[in-house]
Amino acid sequence: MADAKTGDALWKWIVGGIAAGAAVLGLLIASYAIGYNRGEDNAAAPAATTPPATTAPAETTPPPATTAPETTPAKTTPPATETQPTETAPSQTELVARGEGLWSSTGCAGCHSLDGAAGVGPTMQGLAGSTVTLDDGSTVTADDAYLEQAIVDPDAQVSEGYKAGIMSGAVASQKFDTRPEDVAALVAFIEKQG
Amino acid sequence: MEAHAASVVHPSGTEILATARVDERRVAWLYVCTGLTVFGAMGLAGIAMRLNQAEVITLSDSWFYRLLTLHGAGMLVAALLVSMGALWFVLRTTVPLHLGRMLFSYAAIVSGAVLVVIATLLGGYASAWTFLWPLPFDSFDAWRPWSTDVFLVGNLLVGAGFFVYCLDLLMQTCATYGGLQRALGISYLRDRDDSPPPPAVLAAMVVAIEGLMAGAAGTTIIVALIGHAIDSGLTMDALWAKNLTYFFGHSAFNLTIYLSAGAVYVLLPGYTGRPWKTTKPIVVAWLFTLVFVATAYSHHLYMDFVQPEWAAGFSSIASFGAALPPAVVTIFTGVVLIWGSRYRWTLASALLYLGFMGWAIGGTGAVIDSLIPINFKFHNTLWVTAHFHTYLLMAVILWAFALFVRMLEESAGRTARDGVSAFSLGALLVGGYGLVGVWFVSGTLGIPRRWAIHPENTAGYSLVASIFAIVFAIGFLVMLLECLRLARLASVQRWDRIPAPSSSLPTRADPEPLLSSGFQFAAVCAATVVFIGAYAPPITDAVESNVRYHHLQHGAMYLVGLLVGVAFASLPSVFARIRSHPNLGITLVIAGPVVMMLGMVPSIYESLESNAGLHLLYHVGMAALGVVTGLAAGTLGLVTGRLVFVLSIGMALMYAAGVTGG
Repeated sequence: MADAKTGDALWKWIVGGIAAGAAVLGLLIASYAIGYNRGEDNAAAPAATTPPATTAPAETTPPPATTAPETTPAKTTPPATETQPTETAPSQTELVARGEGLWSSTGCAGCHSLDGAAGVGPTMQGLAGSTVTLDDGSTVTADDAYLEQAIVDPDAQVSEGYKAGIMSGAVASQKFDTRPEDVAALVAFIEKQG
Repeated sequence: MEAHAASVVHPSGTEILATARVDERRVAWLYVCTGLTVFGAMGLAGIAMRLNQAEVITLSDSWFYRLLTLHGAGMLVAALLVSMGALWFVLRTTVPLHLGRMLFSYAAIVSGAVLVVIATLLGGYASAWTFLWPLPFDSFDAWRPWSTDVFLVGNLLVGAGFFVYCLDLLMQTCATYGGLQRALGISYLRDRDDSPPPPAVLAAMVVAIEGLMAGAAGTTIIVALIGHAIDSGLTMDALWAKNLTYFFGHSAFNLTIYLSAGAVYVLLPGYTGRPWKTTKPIVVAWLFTLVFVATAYSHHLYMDFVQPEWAAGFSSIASFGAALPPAVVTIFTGVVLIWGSRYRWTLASALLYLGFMGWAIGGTGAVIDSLIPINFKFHNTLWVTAHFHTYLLMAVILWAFALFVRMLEESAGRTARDGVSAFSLGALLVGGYGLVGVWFVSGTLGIPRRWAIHPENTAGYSLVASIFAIVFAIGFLVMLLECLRLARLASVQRWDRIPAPSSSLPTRADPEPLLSSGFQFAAVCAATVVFIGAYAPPITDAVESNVRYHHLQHGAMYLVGLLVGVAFASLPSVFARIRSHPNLGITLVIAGPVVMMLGMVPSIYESLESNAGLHLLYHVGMAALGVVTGLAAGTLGLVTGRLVFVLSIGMALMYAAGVTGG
């Protein structure tokens, strides 16, 4: 190994290192370019590369009731990379079991009881389907949409007698807005509580 | 004089003042006296809080939490000052520590403490010393917004002072003992070194390395909080913030006991007449601490359900691995050293001996609390208050007093009076253990900590504890009065005018460059070229989608500069010029990462993104900051420079992992 104190030998090592780094960087850039071009190709011909069964959500998933009939196909047909309709939908039992696990692991029980007992947040017993009075005096039915929003954005509709900011602060790090399957599982578990 | 000295220490013991220069003695006085003064003042605040919980006096909630905040931050300052001063003073005969840097550390820490006093007493700041995000910024008008900024800057200054101390400790110790492995005793452990460093050096090395790591974590979270104060658009992950806060805070408090233990390794042999030799169990014990103390902090997050379970499990092991080995080995070997030695019992030597008891009891309380099932019951109770007060009050402070009294006794040429010593020691013991004992009992009963009011019908515990605290304060006061008497005698002797005997200063090796072989240069150059890829336009476009990736890109640009700076600093011709400027280097390795992180405040860089030229200039500036930091690291020698390099890029990575917004 060359001694760094001898100038000539040192410069050879430096030039060699720069060359090695340039080679690695070149490989990285080449990989990126190849991947980018392949992505461009895919984007240009999505129909040719994507099986028909996975490109038409309408065939596998009925449109939600709120979907406007004038929705254009471009809006309802997501890119090939985002569709996952071929995955088998979990059964209701599986959803509830998953929701129960999430209920425990994410600490929901710290604030919400399942047996009607008072807590930092409202109890889940008998919540699903009930009429909830909000802090502005209005009422809302605790349906799926309400429960999902209550998990993803707790401050959007705050129940009477409770404060905004507490649950939103506690669940912020969970990023439920990026985990629709987990939210659905939690909703299923809550509905199971009657 | 010799007759006097013989009456102060063991006949075969060595005086510590006789080997010290006058300016060194003055620095030691400065640190220990300031630390004990701050301790006294913060102790009064503590007694006031305890009397309030006992319903003897009435403090408003606002004032209680102000005092709680001041007491916590102030006691950290007090413990740091006394223990830093003690280790520095006893180590300087072995390691040529830098006087100027020690004075800088003092100025920074005291300035920081003054800002903390202003923030709490004038600004009403009251979110506790832990400054847990986002509480400092959500005062609901309980304190003035500016007080948060002042408190954070105060903490940053305290951290900077400790950081400089640790840098000097690491640089000088490694230079004196010929590298990291020898200074940590690893070479001795592997039978490659017949003359291991003394135990105090082992403690100093562990403190220096852990202190720098904790300082980096603390700087990152405090700069992020200051960034939020500058631009409210900057936010951060609460779990990330709590991890960094406790990494810094728990480690800083923990290190005060290791600093003090290092001093005890030198002070105790003065009373036994036997040297405290380094043995392999002592080396292994300190290596355990080095490995584990950085991760033990996570036991503060057992109840944070979002903290990964593996972190909690590892923390439990780390808490044992960090706390038990050095305590057990030090206490055991210390007691063996005393056994049969005709130990010279004086006020100072008794304080040293009693400090072992405080470390053992306080440490045991901590280890019990680090067990996860017990922690779930105890952690938010007064049990935790009991454990850390035990080792701070009954070990760190007693050992600081031991050095203080020892210096005075040596200066005066005589020991403290027996009756006064017995009374003050008795009061300290009864008062101290009564105070923490009530906390231990209260903790097991579930009385919560950090509350101005306690559950109904528990005020009696606080009243009893208050009485014990006052007994401790009386003992403290009596000891101070005896110290004043010794100081008067010492001033008559004019000891500090007597020059130290001409003992040769320990020699240190010349600093080495960070890169010493051609292969190392080649590796750094290769890495530099690869990371230049961070400037590629597609990456700049892609990271716009996520603030964390955006910060990561800036970190990569900073790393490019760091690598270039390190390579330049290691070139023989460059190194020959910069090696003589370590003070400038220390300044820049602190300033570089701080400016880099503050530069990522959204309101600064977002305004530049609309202009491609300015945007590029900003990115070049990130690398330029890295170059400056890398060059500065090159002035600190092989071990310290490389550690600073790792910590600098570590700060950029930590920042990118947790800070969002903008």
